[in-house]
Amino acid sequence: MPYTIRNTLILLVLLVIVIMGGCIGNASSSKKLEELEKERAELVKRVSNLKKEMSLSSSQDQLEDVLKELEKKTSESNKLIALEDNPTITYRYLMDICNKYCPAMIFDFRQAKSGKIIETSYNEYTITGEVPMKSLYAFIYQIENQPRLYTVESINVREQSLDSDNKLNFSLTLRTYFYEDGVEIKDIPVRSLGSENIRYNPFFPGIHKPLRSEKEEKYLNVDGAILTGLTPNMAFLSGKDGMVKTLSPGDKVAYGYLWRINWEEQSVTFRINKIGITTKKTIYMRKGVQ
Amino acid sequence: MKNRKEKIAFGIFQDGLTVRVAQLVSTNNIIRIQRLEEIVRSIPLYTKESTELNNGLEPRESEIDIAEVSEYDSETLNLPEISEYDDTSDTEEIKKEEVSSGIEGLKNLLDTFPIEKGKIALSANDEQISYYQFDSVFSATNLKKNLKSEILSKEELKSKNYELGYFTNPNKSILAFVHRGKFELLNAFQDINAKISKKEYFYSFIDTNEISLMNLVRNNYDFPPEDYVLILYIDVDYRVGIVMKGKAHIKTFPIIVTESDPEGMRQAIYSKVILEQDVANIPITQHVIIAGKNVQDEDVAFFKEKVKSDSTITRLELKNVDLTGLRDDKLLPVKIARFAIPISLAWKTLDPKNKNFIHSNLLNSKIIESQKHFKVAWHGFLIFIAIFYFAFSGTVKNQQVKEKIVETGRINYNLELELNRYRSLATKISEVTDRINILKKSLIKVEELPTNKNQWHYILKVLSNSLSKNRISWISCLKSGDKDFQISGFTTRRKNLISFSKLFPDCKMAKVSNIEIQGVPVLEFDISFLYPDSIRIPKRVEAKSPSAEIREADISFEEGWTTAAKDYQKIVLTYLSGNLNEAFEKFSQFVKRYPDDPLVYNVTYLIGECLFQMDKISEAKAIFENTVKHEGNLTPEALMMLGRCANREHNTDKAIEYWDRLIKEYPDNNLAELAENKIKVVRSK
Repeated sequence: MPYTIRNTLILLVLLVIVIMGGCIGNASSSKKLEELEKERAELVKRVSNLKKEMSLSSSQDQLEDVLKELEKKTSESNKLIALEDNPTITYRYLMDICNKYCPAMIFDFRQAKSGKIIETSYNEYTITGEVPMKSLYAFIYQIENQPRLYTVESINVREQSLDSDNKLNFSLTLRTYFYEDGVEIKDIPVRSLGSENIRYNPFFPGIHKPLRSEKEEKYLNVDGAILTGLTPNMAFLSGKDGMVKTLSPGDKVAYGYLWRINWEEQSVTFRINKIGITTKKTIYMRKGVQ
Repeated sequence: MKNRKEKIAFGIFQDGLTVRVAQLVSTNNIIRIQRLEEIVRSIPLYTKESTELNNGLEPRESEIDIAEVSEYDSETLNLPEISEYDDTSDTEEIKKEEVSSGIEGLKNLLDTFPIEKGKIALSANDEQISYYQFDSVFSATNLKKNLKSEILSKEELKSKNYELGYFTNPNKSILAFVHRGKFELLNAFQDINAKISKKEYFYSFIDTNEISLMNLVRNNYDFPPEDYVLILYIDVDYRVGIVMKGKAHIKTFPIIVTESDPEGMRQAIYSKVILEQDVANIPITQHVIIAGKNVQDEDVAFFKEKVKSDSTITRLELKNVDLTGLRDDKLLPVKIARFAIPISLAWKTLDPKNKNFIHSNLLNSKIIESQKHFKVAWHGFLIFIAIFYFAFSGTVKNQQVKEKIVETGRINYNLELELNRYRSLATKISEVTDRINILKKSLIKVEELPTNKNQWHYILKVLSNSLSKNRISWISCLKSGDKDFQISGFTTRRKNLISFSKLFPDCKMAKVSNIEIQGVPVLEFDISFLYPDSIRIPKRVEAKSPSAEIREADISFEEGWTTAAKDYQKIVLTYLSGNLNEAFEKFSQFVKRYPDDPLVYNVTYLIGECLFQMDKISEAKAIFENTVKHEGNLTPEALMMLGRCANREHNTDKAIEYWDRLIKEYPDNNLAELAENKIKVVRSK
């Protein structure tokens, strides 16, 4: 066979291969393109449907604005009603608050009653105890400012007893609400409110019965003391035990100190705080105490 | 390892019934004679009749016209030998056998050579060659066409039963030669090829014997250009003398010798040479090279003796070829002379670019073309164009489709991203909406529920602040009721009661009585208040730096707050975000807008903080001092800030004094601890 014919045949085979390869390749690519176009049409349809469903056919910005608005509204609410409640849940919650903000808060806890107001169930718990004022305040502050809705329905606080180690008696009734459409407890955040202190204890008695202190009793007790001598700068006083003590202004006596010597009036004045307030006590020569 | 550059060529020379084959090998451009063989057949390859019978083997373009051949070169024909065999039988059977036996011997010889592995060069039958010498009468352009019209008749041109060859001498004269009729040797090779091998033999060229001999001399000798060289070739039938001047061909003359004894032959040849020299009147015997069958030393010696002493008489020798492959050294010079023509043919095949070789070829151009492996015919070109077209158009189309695929893929990817984004947003929206719904319901519930008593921290704080300012006062009992709450307590001053009555709404002074406690006159009182409206309770704002954490409780707005309270919260947010100038401006505007609002107290203090942080210390100090004088709930903060102002002014003693006062007067305040630390730090410096 002549080489020209052979070469022509080879070229012919090559042509067939090229045509077949081209057809197969193009068919494959066209098929792929067709699939992609179908996929695109499907995606466009789905995006369009989604937009319609969301009523946000105009732009994504609007959608995000709506979202932001919703989130803003969400953040504005600061009290939430829980889905459920029972004494265990409440006691655990109160203990969490105490452990975190007022560890000195020791109280008795009992369920008082349950009920329903405006289709909302509630449980009431009575809490009583003897606690420092700061702890009581921190406890109430947290209860009233945390997102979970607990209300202090009633409170009864008594004057602090001097014998009770700076603790005061209290009794309060806590009420918690819950209902079936409420928020899951795990979804109610615990706000970080920090510790909140009260500056001044209003239940501490300003005037009280005289305090007796062994330490103070070691000093000269001006009650019943007699001014036996006086110089412009020094005073000589005799106590109940008959012992004479020499005092200058500022010197310590039981529950107070020598405030001043009045040479003109021949008297000495003490400032004494035995009952919560400082009182003046003046002793005259010969005249006795006034 | 086989050398990849090894090439094999075969030179085939036919002289009457003798066929000589030379096998040469070229390795790395070194040409080596590998094998020299000859066969003397008893009958010619083809007779006229056998040629007719041989049509089945190989189609012939035209028949050899012996009469025509003899017309050109009748002297060199050895017809008696041919006729001797031709006359033996008339029957077709016998003729077939003769055909068979005619090429059988050649076939047997070729069987011993790897013919299909090399290229074949054949000698043309001298009896069919006619030479035409032209001086430079033709221009170089269309030379072949001019030669054809000059040499060949119209009938010959029409019959195409010829092959024309030529070469131009250095002196521009042209030696043209025409081969008329078929190439018997080529036909025989093609017949043998068909019988013994499926692979087709490769034919490189067909040269005339004269050209082969001249090629050999041109390539092996270097005579001066003006010297004459006589090649005496004496073989069985082919006996010629070729005269060259330098490398140019001058003339060729046949040598007809009838004597059979060597001495008589030598004498006859010499006589012919001398005759030619006399006729031409040129010293053709300057250099004599003798070649052909059985050129003996005696022949060389005879001519040396006869010719002038300054002439060089040699037997043909090969200088530029490797002869190590031939073992019979004693007969080698004779053999080389005998195989001169086939060696020349093979050599030219192996070294076609050698300028010493005359580049002529009588091989039919169709055969040459048909042997080209990569030759493409017109139909091949058409298909090639079609391949290119389909490949190009297919590639372009495919590229376009792929570009579309990429583009569509990109669009799809973006759509998927968009879809996912929408889905994510939809999920988020759904989640948030659900949450909002829950929260809204919860808020509505909270608003509906009677939770106005849930402000005890505020009540306690207000009471604490008030009692700390209005000393000596204390509460003996705090008791809540359904709608109001009662406070029972004692105070040493009557005016304190007036202050207390303003603390909460709807004060009802139930009882005020003078008593003595521990001999101290005091007022015992019972007061009841309604629960304060929660919207009037401002959120506590921490006195902290702008970088401090913004606490959730601080920034949340209460539903139903007054405009002032809302504005206050917004400005506080601005302040806490660190935008001091803007906060300062807004705080100032707030004071002008709501001069009677209780929040002015807080705002004034915060203006002081702004000024402090804007490094306006003296102005800040004035505000903090006013705050301290006011004795409100921000007094500790103002004392702290006064200390910081003094410290900023490097007045350490004054700073310590302020902080010390804070510690002593507000020991329970958080700032007291901070003040202690500040004092320690200042003192340690």
